[in-house]
Order: sequence, then C-alpha cells, then structure tokens
Amino acid sequence: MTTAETPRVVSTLIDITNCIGCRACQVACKQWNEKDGQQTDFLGGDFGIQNPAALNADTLTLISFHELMDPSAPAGFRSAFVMRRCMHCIEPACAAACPTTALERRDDGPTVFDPSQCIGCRYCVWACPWDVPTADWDSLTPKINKCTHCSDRYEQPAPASRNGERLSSLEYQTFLDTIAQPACVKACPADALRFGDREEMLAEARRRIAARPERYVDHIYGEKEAGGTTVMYLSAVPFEKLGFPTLGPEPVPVHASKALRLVPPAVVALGALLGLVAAFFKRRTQVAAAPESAAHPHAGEVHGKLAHDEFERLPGTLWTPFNFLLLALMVVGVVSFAARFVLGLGGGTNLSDTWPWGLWIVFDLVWIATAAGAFATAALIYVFQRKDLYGLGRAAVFIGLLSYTFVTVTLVADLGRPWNAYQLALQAPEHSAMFEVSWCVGLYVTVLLFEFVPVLFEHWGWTRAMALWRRCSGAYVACIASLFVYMLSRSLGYAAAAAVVFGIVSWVFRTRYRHFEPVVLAIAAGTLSTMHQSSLGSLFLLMPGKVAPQWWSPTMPISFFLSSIAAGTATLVLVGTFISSGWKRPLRRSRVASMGQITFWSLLVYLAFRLGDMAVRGQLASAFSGRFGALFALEIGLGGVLPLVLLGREAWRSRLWIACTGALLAAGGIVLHRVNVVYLAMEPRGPMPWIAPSTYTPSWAEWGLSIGLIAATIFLFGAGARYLPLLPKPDPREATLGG
Amino acid sequence: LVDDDLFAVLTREHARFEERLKALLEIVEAVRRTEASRADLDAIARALDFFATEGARHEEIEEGTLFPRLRPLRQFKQVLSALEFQHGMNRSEGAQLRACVDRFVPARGVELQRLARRFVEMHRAHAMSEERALFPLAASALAPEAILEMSREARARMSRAAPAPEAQS
Repeated sequence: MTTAETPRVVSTLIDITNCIGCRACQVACKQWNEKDGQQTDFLGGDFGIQNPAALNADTLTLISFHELMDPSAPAGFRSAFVMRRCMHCIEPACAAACPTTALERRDDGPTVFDPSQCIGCRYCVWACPWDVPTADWDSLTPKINKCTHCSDRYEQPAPASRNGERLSSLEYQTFLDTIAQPACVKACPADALRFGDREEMLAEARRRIAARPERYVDHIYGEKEAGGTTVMYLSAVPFEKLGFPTLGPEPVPVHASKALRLVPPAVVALGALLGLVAAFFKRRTQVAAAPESAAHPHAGEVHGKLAHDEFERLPGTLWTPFNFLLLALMVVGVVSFAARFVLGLGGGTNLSDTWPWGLWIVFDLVWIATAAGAFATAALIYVFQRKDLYGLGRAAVFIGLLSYTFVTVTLVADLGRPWNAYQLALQAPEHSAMFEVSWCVGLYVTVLLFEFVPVLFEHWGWTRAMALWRRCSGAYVACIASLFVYMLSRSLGYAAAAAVVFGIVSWVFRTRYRHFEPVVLAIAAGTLSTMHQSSLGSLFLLMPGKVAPQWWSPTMPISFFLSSIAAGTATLVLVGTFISSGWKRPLRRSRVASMGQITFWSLLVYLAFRLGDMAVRGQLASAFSGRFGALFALEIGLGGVLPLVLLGREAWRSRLWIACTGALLAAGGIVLHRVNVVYLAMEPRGPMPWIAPSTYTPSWAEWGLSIGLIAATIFLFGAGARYLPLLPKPDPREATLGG
Repeated sequence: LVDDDLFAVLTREHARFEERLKALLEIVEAVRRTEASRADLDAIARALDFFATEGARHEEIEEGTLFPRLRPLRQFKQVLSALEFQHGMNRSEGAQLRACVDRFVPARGVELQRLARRFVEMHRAHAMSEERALFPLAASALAPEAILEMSREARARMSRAAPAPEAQS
C-alpha cells in the first residue's frame, strides 16, 4: 500500500456509467502500441457489438458489451460498455510470477513489460486473477502482451519552453493534464476515463458516488480487490453482473511470497539438519559394526569393495523388438519437437490464452514427482544409512538423471522464447516460484550428474578422475548451495551461512576411508529436491481462484513435497518389478518390500497432512461433493487409501504383485493429483472478459513429444543397464523375486 | 435532431465514410488473398485521397464551425480535447497507410492489411465518439438558432471545397 514515503502512484478511474462504447480508447491504444487492426464483425449473441471477443496480443484494451435486464429501463434492459485492460495491481501477481523480471511493477504504479527479457513461460497468464496477459500465439517468437498504462507516454519529459519562452506552471500542468496521459484516457470523449494520482482518483470516485448515489453502486472496484489496483471502476450495476471476479482484499502473491521467503533459511537449516542426521546414523552404524571390525580389521574395506562389486551389467542384446518400438516412438518425439519450432507454439500446440499451460507442464510435474525416487533413495542410503537399499541406488539416480534431463527438453519446447533463458541467470526475481524452480532444478541436475559419474569412471577405470571427483564433490556442493541461496535471497549473509554449513558438512564427510560415501551429494540432492518439489506447489499459490478448493491450499508446497517422496519411492518399486519381471533378474525381496514400506509411510504422512489441512481450513466436509467431488474421491480413495491398505502389511507388500499394485496405485494417485492441479481441477475463465473460455485437448505434437521422451527414458535406461554396471547382483543368501 | 441541422449533416457524412471504409477493407482483404494489381493499389489510393480531401473537409467543419462554439463551455473540455486527438490519430494513420501503398511490394500485403484495418477501426470509433458523445451533448447545450447558423456555415464551407469528380468515384 502507498505510504507517505512512496512516490505518487498514478491511476485511472473508469466510470462505466459514462462509457458510450465508441472504442476510441481501444483504437488509441492500438495506435500508440503499434498493434495490428483486426477485422471487425457483428459477433452476435452475448457479444453484440463487442469486437474482438476478448483481450489478445493485438488488443490490450477492449470495450466489452453487456445487455442487462432492467425493468426500470425504457426497453426493459440497459446496455453497459466496460473498458477491459490491465488492472495494474499494487501487488501484481504477474510480476510475482515472472522468473526474469520481464514484468515488473514500477514504483509509480504501472506494471510494465520488457519483451527482451521474456522467456515465454506464460506463468503470468495463469497467475493474473483478471486473465489479462496474453501471448502472441501466431508468432514464432511468442511473447507476452499487456497494457503498460502508457508509462512510456506520460513519462515523456515536458518541454522546458515554447517558442523560446519558458513554460509557465499553468502550461506545464496543461501539458501533464492533456498530453502526458495514457492514450486511452486522452482519446476518451465521454469523460469515462480519468487519470491522476490514486488517492485523488479514489477521492473523485467517492465524490461521484456521494453526489449521485442513485447512479452508482456503492463500490469502487479495485480499491481493495487483491490488495488494491491502480485501475479502478465505478458502475451502475453490481460488478459481478459485468463479469468482474469477486476477490478478497488479500494480494494474490501473499502466499507464494511467504513460501519463497522461507527458501534461503530452509536451505541452510535443511543442510545442517541432514548433516547432523547423517553424522548420527553413520556413528550409529560404526558403533554397531565395531565388534565385527575388531574381529575383521579390514571390514570397512571389504564392505567398500563389496558395495562396488554389488553391481553388474544386464546381459543380452539391446536390439529387441520392444526397443525398436521405443526407437520408433523416439523418432516421433524428435519430429514433434521439430514441429513445435517450425509451426510455432500456437501452431504446434493447442494451447491458448485460456489454457496457457497444458500437457507438457503436466508431464513435467508428473516426471519430477516420480523422479523423486533418486533423491529419496540417495538420502535413505547415505544420510539414513539404509544400506539394504544400496542396490537400488544407481538405477534410481540414473532414472532421476534421465527424467530431469528430459524435463528440461520439454521445458525448452514449452517456452515461447527459450533462447532468452539466459535471462534467468541475469535477473533476480526472488519473489518468483518459477525462478526458484528453474535454478533449483538446473543445479539438481548437476548434482545428479555428480552422483552418477562415478559409475562411468568405475566402468572406464578412470581412477584419477574418480579421485578428483571425491575431492571436489564437497566443494562443488558448498558452491552451488551458496549460489542458490544468494540468487534466492540476494543476501551475502545467507550465502555465507550456506557456504559455512555445506562447507562443514563437506569437511565432516570428506574422503577419509578407501570407501568414500557421497554423503554430501546426498544431502545436496535432498536439500535441492525438497526446495524445488515444494516450489512446484508454490507455483500454484498464485492461482487461488482457479485451482478448485480441494486442491488449492496455502500449504500446497508441503503437500507437493510429501507426495513427491511417495511417488518417487512407488516408482522405484515399479522399476524394481520391471527389472525382475521384464528383464528376468532376481531381485532381493527385502529391497522391494523396504521400498514399499517407505512408500506406505510417505503416502500416509502426505495424506494425513493434506486431509488434515483441508479439515483445518473447513474444506473437507464439502470436498467429496460438487463438481470435483468424484474426482477428489477417486484420487484419495483409489490413489491413497487403497495403496495404504495394500502396502501397510509386511506380509502383503512382500508379495510382488501386491507391492507392485500398491505402488502403481500410489504413483497413479499422485500423477492424478498433478493432472488435477494443472488441468482437470483448473477452472480457467479465459482471457478477459471471460466470455469464451476455450477448451483444451493436447495436439499431436504435444502427445508426440511426451510419448517420445517417455520412450527415450525407458530406452536409455535399458541401454544404460546393458552397458554400465547399474543393476544389483543377485544375492544367493536372500529370498528373491523373479529370475 | 432536425434533418437539416449540422449534426444530421455530419452524421450523413459519417455514413458516407462508412461506405468508403467498407469498400477499402474489401479491396485490402482481396489484395491479401491474391497478388495486388495496379488497379487494386489505385483503388486504395483513391479511397485514401477521398479521406484526405473529404475527411479533411469534414474535420475542418467540426474544428472550424462546431468546436469553437463549444469550447467556452466547461463540460466540453474533455470531449473536444479527445476528438481533436482522434483527428490527429486518423491523419497519422492515413499517412502511414498511404506511405505503405506508395511503396507497396507484394511482400508488404500483411502490413497493408493491418494498417488498413487499424485505419478503419479508428474512423469507425471516431464516428461513434461524435455521434454518441458529442452530438447529443452539443444539441442540448446549444440554442436551435446557433445550430442553424452552424448548418449554414457548414454548407458554405462544403460548397467552397466541393470534392473533385474523381474523388467522388
């Protein structure tokens, strides 16, 4: 909110009762912003003389047409014309969403846009509660478009003199009043638009309402909505009848902002906590192993040697009919990827201003959730010293690496202007969940790579590279943790704290034995994954009015994180099953059962948290009814309660088909959760003025790329298993599955 | 409004302009679909000439006859400022379109179309601004005698600058 210290905040007051619907504002806006004219038609129906139907890349200001039943009016109805454009919020959700500060609020009020920084992620389109930003869907380089309140127009410097004579203060004021105004205000002949200081405009609005109470509803729309806006409206009829959304006084970015402020201290605290936990469990393991060590002085080395000898390659040829099918699907993926860039985002996909995100974002969210097995397994093995799961570690990390790499490929296709991605490194919008996710996922991929390269070094016999890796991994983790914290906080203090914490952790777990354990990499993986898995939930905190209440909550970041652990571990149960059944490999029953048990507990915690949160917020009672009740019941019942039952008893989850079914249902439930959040439970209104929200069905290119990348993951996992020692060797001492 | 008053005269002129705008759009859409012929470009140029002469004369009547009588009245400050601004917009848009036609090459068909559409949108919005905002307000603010006097003055201006035969075609 404005304070005495803040500069003048400019504002436009729109008096709907004065608007004559001439569209002079609309065309003046087009001319000033050099936007294309559009063919006008009589659209009929609800649209009447409105042209075009909604805001779009060429129409940043639109007069919407309304016929309202009114028995007191001469013909039984009255017409209303409403100027639609950006509301220029005091705390804009679009700017909070933007990961590159392409959208930014100026101190004097307007939210302005710099296309040279736009990466075309379209998060702002989703985030805006008024659905104002629109994308250039017809362009091969689609950027975002929105009104800038003509800030470039009214900030033009006033001339110092005219005909050699200094301007008087009156002339200067006249310049400001008649020239330095937004083009729409300047062109309005009906006094429907007033431009000036926000406080003055509010006073003017109150004066008009007080002077003619019979003419206006006693409501200044924009005074308080979403924390207040600098474009405000007066109307003769309630605003909801004109299609304005009913919004509370809370700024939209408030929840996301709270969540993101926690990230820098959380990284430092989590790093320290995981370090302490790892030290505790390692010490406990050493104490437990001490008697054995006394009896066998080289036990540690033997253990280390055993650990590395525990893996082997999958025998047999890669060129099976199944893998040829996968190759064919990968070709489809490549063609789809190329089509996306040849046809453009608008031509290659069925995305629109109503559905700016579609299958590829669903795909990313699902893949990142199911790839969480990589960090969860690494943390279990090295932090919690669950060495019984060691045999699954390499497969988990390799799947994680493949999945995250292909998520990046999907993002490149999904971004409208991926060549501007370098802007993510230059800008620092610490308020953007997308920015946090971008950095966190990018750094995590490098951690996964660091976790995986020893397999390659070992395979190729690169002992010097392996030694270098052991020496450097701690320093690398300290560097990226500090960099990440600095980017998110812009605080040297936080960055120094991260450097100290991760530096100490790296020093404590440095190479001291022949058998080096990458504990610090596991801690980095756990920390970064916790951050980005939760921040994927934070993405949706900016959409409280769009995601159905069964799914939207201020605690979405926590439920996203908790569910990702359940999804990741469930996926590893499925991968284990695939290895044993598909590749006829004997697999330790205890490993699958252990992973099934972890899935059970993580799913239980997730469900308890989510349902508890809904109960606290008073949403639980109505969650199973209404439009999304059945969908919610399906997600919770089939994807939550049933897998809990199947995985809850040790005797049951030790049986392959039950563990597999339970894991499949658990992973499916979380996949459905992500699909619901992005698509099925999303209630978009479409671009303002919300008359014609379009439907969305993914295009062939969207399906093609997604399927191609899934095929590539399976194929490369198979190829990796055949050429690298990824799979655990069968242990004759233990009961096995399959084989 | 009586049929013979200034506002009726100006409204009839708007209707005449609308016919020209429709014709202009038809030609431009056709040019977009096919290769532009010399005849098409000449037709567009003639339409623009029409607006350059007839439109200018129309503006002259408004700015020389009507606006000066309304300017002393406080309630017209905003509307007159807006309409003068719109006149300026129309002129600048016409000049841009004209430049595009004069330097036309087939590759600029898309630009020609978008400029023409914007030109048409502007003229339509301007006509609607005057008919919905200015004329009713002016008709109620001015005395009937003043309106008749303005009509006479407007007719005199029109006769002084009668359109050339080719501009009418």
